[in-house]
Amino acid sequence: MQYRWIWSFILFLGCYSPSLRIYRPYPDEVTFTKVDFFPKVIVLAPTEFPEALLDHDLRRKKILKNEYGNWESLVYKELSLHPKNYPKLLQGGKIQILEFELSSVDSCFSHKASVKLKAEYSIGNEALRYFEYEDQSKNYNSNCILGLSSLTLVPLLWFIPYLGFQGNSEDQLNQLGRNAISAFFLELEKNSGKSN
Amino acid sequence: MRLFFLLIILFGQNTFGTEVEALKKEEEARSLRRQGRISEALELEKQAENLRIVPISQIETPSFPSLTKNWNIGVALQSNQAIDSGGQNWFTNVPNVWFQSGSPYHPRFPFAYQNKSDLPISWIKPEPGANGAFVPVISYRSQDQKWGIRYRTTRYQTDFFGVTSSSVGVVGREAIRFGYQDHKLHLEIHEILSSDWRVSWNFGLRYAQWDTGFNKTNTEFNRGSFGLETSRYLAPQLGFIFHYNLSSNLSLFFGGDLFFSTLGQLQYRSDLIEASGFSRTSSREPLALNAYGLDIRTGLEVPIGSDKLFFIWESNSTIWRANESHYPNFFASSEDSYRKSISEYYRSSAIYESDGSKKVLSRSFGIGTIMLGYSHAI
Repeated sequence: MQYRWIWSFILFLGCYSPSLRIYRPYPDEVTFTKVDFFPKVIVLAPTEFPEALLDHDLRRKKILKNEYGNWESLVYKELSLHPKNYPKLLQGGKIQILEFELSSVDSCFSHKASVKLKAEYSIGNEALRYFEYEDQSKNYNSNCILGLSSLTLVPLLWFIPYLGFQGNSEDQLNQLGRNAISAFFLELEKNSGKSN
Repeated sequence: MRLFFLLIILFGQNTFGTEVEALKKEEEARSLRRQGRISEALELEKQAENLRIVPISQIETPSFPSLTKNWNIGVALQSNQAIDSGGQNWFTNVPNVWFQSGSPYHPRFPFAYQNKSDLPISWIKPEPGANGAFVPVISYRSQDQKWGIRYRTTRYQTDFFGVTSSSVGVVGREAIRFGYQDHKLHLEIHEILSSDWRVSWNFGLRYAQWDTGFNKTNTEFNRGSFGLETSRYLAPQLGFIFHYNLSSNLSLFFGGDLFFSTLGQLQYRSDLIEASGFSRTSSREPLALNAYGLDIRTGLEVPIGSDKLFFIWESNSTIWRANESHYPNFFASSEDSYRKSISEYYRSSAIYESDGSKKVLSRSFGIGTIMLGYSHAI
């Protein structure tokens, strides 16, 4: 239908492209200027960067790359910012991400963002441990509904606050990714002897 | 509107964060380390570290005019457009006055002044005249940047032209004139909310006056009429302006002002010249007028040294009502004209009095302004 091209044109005009920014968020960030190098901690992953699949009804499928570093950067940054939380891991360890699926699927009248993280890790000389995390968010933030609601005023007034409340696809992808990373690091903290 | 957004997109590009670049350099450094090229890796890591140290200039507070130059004097070109309600949209539930709203055989002008009975059908084609104006822009800011004084003004003047036609052709011409000016003087209290946001709270005084006139000839009935309505008020005003720095030399601001006044007055006069005589209806004493309204303002500022260019988009709306508590003065040169003027007054008196119902109807008009200006700091 013709409206698809109009939408692509408008979206293109706005140079809209979601960015994937996954990291472990903290309520009080620590300022840092340097991320250290930990040769004893090995990080392996199926893809170099955490990736997300963007599959929207009116756009081509797109793979987004994390702008805040690859898997190694994420782990090393965490270790250099908070070394006290990982006393055992700093002496050596191996983290292998088996599977990381983050996707945002917009099928015209509904939207589903989901994350799945499967990892194996061993701290020091201990046995291999397994970590699994899964989450998803189903809502009605889709481009078709936004386009339809902008034709008249009252649906727009109802839909825009809903959109703000739920977050757009970029927000949802980022939030799910950050939750997965945070959960993984929490587990690492627990098992590498964090002293409270 | 399009120019406004285009300016934002063209000039609103921020300097982006550098964490992404720093991380890229560090990842490369890591792979170099694994290959054994330690010195190059150290070089890259040093670069990444420098990227993360934010230079002081990036977090400086926005550029105010220099501390010794407190005055800002300039000129702006305004281009205005007005809309009005009154005249043809008096479809109220009050039966005493609904007939005054007009009908095809009892038409009303679409603009402020309620004209009287006028047959045949009159057709107004609004052709507003040129309504640009040069206005001065004066503001003062204290030495410690905490408070200031500002003067603002808006001027608008236009004429509408139309023709009255009947089955025999054009029988009359009419012109309606509307002129508005307001002067606002207010005290501003400045506050810095963060490195990008500033706000100023405004308390001030506002004086506005407007006049509406009509001038009409009707050759079929050998009639000419002329009317003038002059209103003004003095109001206290309350407002705010938020400034946001899009970049180091472009800032966006938006704000609003509210005012309310009971110190207003309105005077009117209406003349009718016919073959039978001449009559004039005029208000005996100034009518009490209440007004309240809202100004919304948004714009862009580009400071260049001690000069500043600005582009403002503003809308002034005024809602007013006037109440008359005495009969007007009727002056006529013949008995026919005298009777006619009284019946005309009866037919259109709902403008100024409640005609037995509980409240006086209010009228409103709005003025939209686009302003482009330049000011210099002294």
